[in-house]
Amino acid sequence: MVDQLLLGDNSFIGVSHLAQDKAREEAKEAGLENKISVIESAIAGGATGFTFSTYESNLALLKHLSTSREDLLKRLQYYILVPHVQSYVRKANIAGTTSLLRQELSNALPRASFLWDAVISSLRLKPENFAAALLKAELVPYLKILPKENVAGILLHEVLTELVMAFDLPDLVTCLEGSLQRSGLSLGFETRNFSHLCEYISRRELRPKYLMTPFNPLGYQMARSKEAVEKAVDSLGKNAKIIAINVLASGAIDINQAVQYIRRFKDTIYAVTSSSTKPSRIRHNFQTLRSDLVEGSYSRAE
Amino acid sequence: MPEVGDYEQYVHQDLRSAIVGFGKMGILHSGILNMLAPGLVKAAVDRSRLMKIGASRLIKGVNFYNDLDKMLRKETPDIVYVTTPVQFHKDIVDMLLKTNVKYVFLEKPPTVTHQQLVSLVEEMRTDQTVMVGLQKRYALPFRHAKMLLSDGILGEITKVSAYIRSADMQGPVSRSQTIGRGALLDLGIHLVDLLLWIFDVCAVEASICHKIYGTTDDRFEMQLRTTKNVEVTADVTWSDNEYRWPETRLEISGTRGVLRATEDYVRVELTEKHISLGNETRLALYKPHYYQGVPPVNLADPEYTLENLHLLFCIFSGTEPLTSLRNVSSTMNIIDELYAKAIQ
Repeated sequence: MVDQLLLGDNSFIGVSHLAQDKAREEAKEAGLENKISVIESAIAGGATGFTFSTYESNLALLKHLSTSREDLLKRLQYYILVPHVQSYVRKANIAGTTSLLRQELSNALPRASFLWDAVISSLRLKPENFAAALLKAELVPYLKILPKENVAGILLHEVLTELVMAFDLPDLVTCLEGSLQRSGLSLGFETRNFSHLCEYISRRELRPKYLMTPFNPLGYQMARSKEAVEKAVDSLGKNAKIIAINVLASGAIDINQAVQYIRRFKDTIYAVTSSSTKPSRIRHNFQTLRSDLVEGSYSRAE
Repeated sequence: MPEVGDYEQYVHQDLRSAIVGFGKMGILHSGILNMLAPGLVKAAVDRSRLMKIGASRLIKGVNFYNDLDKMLRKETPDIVYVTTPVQFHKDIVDMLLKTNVKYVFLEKPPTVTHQQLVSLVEEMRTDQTVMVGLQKRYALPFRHAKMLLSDGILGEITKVSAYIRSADMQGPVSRSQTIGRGALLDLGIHLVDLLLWIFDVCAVEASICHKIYGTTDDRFEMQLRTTKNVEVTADVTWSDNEYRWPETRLEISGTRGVLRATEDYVRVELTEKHISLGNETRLALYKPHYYQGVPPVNLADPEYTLENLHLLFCIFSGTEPLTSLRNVSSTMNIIDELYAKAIQ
């Protein structure tokens, strides 16, 4: 049985993998009050967690919850995606990648915790330590707000995960993992290349706790192919907690088609996400997912 | 999609590739290449010492250099990807062609001016290939739109309106100040290239350049004409806050209906049924319909992998890339003309 149902943040931050005009419409709808209504409806429908990127509007939402709706904040488990790649891409577009690197280092240096890491990194000439320190610095404002026991996992954004595979960077993974573990956090990977990741994890004998990947009957964002990803899910689901995202293929299919597809894998998939700016739709989505995929585990929990 | 069928054959051709300019685009292309065939990227050159030291400490499987000449002598690559800022393209490609590099991938825009591009084309030997990274031509919705229009689904085309918009720049851009060209060359080249490829644009009727943050164009409006005498209006901006990611959009009106296409979709509304729409009057296909289990590597947008596969396919089959330097020459010619005719 699926254990967790997670609210995703795509609709909150203007991301749609269907069409950008849809994302722009949703971004206009997604004001603070609307987001809170969506969270309430998601919980009412059966959502148990929230997965989000370190995007400034998410920070504003969580700050608001911590001051005004602590009841909601405490009811969810959190899965945080880092780093916020789009902001880095935009900065690189303006000034170039080397300038971005210099800028990030000089921004982070004045922070005391980072300074210590920077000194150590310089002495050892280990850029992995810089990366870990930057990642941690990005997480700090969120970790200050969220109840510690509710932060379930930190997931490496797909762009970094794919580069870890492409350039074979196991030392970077070890370093990030160690850095998070020292703060009592677990590292996972988000990827759109799940079958490649399955091979990489096995070759490098990595043991990530969480793996997040698109999973839908169309095979959208499932590389190297739908069949290869299904096989990898069957294989990795025994050792890691797999979080299925984009289960509606960005809205190209409905929730019933998604459920029908995931049902075959419900014993290997740990969590399923859904996202919307419409409270009624998110409640319906989670109710459908809950009744078909989670009921067994709910009975156990209750 | 010839690039995807049997791709295993041509991604494993025992090629040695190198990257010149290990910034955002260099990392992206080398990431895709190495995921397609582990170890395909052997070397990288970046003039920044910080980048070279950092990257070489982190990435053990790639040899890093500060000096292009040294890299070429030591590594003798078959393919070189040039992903530096555009002002360096001409000299770098010039050097690569002279040192007999056989295959070059040149990130867009290929050169600062059309004249620079022409001089590179003249210098190329017949067995050398330079492909330009104009990846929108490899996006499946645009390829499908071109196919539908070739089938004549709209009847006679009467009007085309188009844009490419992003929110990338919210202040002066130093590299644009250096070369004196901004949004049109950097971003608008995708749109101009699509308009030439799909509609055979041949003339610039009018253009207006808007400077918002600095001394170069942040926004550009244009009026073009095709060989079939159809009017095309288009605008380019990299400073529109509504566009979180760049979006390219074409709207084509014809005597039998309208077709709208972006990187994300193709939507068609016709007045009568057409066999190319399965004997329907309407069609709406989105990215999830186009990219089902393809491409085999998904890093950034799928069209990046498709363009890399296209180059490897062309090397394997000995064919000229769709976006070869020669094939995009007229695109750069129109860009030059737009700048020359622009009212400030």
